[in-house]
Amino acid sequence: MLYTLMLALNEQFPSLTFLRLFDYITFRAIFSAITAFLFSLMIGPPLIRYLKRSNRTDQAWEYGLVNVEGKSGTPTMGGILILSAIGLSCILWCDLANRFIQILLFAIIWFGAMGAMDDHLKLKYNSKLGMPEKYKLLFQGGFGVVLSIIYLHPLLSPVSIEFASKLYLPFVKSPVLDLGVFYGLFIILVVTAISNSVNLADGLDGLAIVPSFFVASVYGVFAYIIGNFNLAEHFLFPFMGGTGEIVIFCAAMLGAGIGFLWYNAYPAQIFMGDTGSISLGGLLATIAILTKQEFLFLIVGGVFVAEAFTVFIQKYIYIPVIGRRLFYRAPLHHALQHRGIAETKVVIRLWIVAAILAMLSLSTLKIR
Amino acid sequence: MISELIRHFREKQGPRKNLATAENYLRRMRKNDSPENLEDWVRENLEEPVWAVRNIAVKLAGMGGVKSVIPELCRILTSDNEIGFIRRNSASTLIELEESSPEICESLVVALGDSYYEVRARAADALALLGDPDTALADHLIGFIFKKAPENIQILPIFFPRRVFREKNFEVRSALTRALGSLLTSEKQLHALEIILQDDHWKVRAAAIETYPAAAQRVGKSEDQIVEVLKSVDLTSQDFVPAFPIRRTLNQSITRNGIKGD
Repeated sequence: MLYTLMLALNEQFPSLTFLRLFDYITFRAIFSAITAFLFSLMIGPPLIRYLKRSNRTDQAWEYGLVNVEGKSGTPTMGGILILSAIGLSCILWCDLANRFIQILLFAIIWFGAMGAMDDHLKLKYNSKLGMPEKYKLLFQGGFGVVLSIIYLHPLLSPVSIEFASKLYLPFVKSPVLDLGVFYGLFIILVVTAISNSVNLADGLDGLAIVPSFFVASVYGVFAYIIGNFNLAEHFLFPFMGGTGEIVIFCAAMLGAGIGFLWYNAYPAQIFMGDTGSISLGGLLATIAILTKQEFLFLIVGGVFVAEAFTVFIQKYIYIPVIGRRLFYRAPLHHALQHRGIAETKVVIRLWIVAAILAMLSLSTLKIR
Repeated sequence: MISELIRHFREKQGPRKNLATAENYLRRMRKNDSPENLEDWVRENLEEPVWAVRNIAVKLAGMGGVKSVIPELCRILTSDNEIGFIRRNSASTLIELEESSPEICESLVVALGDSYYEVRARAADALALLGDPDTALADHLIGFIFKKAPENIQILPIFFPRRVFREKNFEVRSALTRALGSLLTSEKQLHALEIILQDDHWKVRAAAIETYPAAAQRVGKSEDQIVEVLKSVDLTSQDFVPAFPIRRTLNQSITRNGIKGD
């Protein structure tokens, strides 16, 4: 909104040269992050109070007394904070006519609604289960279908249709495969897998949010390079005009994430709930697809991949088929806690791993 | 693993009626509503082809106190072909049944060499609870914990301290330590426990601390000697339990004023 306004003003008043700053992606990205951060900080306390008053909390009472060591009673659905901060910052700083941004805003609404519904069901029926697994998959797959249609349609696609269905791998310069219409199925798989993996990681204070903003930052760098003709040519990426706006979106994710961490850091005053975790996963998946760096997630989102992998192996293969555990517990963070490592230590160690993986991912820019 | 997958899918083809009954029995037992024909049902279903049913039968034997199947449980516990969870639950059931005999102890000792860590851990737990102090049994445990005789070890090496242990899994080492503490009878065996007090995993050290005073008193150590040994234990840990002062205040306020309720 500000972008359009300021550029229009600049056209009207060419003497106001500073307004040209709004044309720079880096400038808008910085202010997008700051806006999202400040908005999160401001909205945090009233939202926490509102969620507490409306009883949107984990079960608070146990055996007549409150558990002194536990975190029961902490407000949940903090994803509202993250999504509203990203949304607001995006509306202010992004070019809303950009197709990539339109898709990402649509993703916020879709996954936000799905996550909120899941949290609502959990709270309503006082159950851990929430929305049945098949409905969750249906929602995530549904978004994948919509995204596939937009992405592969010659008139709707934000990317050039000639490489829309091509697969790019980290460390490899040229596309390895053209999936054609099957790329749609691949999109559905990516959306479902990434969205669920972030959801699974959301089990300890600050665990999901920090690796999420590391991932968003790395994808922001990739989006910047892919959207800049000279840099794309230098790093041997296919140039995709307009992905620069994704940088601003990623910056908003970073700002909103840090703002949320302010309240979610151990001991958490608010949990993101499925409203946050499913949405963050969905947004990261969408960004990965839009920048054509789906496989990069295996490296940059290694923490999420490990969390999902442990659950998949343990829950679907080892326990029901082989009748024993492979890991002490699943997901990974529970296995680490089971080994006698305190929550804060588990979280910080996984942050360190996520940071190293982010650096490793950035190295794939050059090692190709 | 492939053969296990094939077996799983074959079992899936088989009749599932028994599994529904088994799950129903389990639910009833959890509500303290014991089915009348439980003993017969357990005995029959310990041989069921579907492993989920056998697993429930083993659990129900413990919950329902079906002591007549103890020999069967000992066989299952030491069987190489049985599913890991069922072997583990057999050891748990033996604990629940609170019966001790040389045959049970023998099976438990064999289970200490199981390939699945949960079975080894539960077998060690069972030995700690069911066995009485016994020199031979304690020596067996030491053999499972250490690679070489502990009397040749004074201090754990700085690099790779776990190389002196045969048992690499911390959970099993903790359970074996508790068992050793309950069963040891001599000062030589107590020395093994003192070495375990240096373990680099805090949970194993905690298990040794838990069991050391009683074991040391049993072999005639004075209180001063016990305190001296315990004072030298490394108390650093990767874990801590948080406390939220406002929650504690609320609980104290409720308790002080005699308020009751859910």
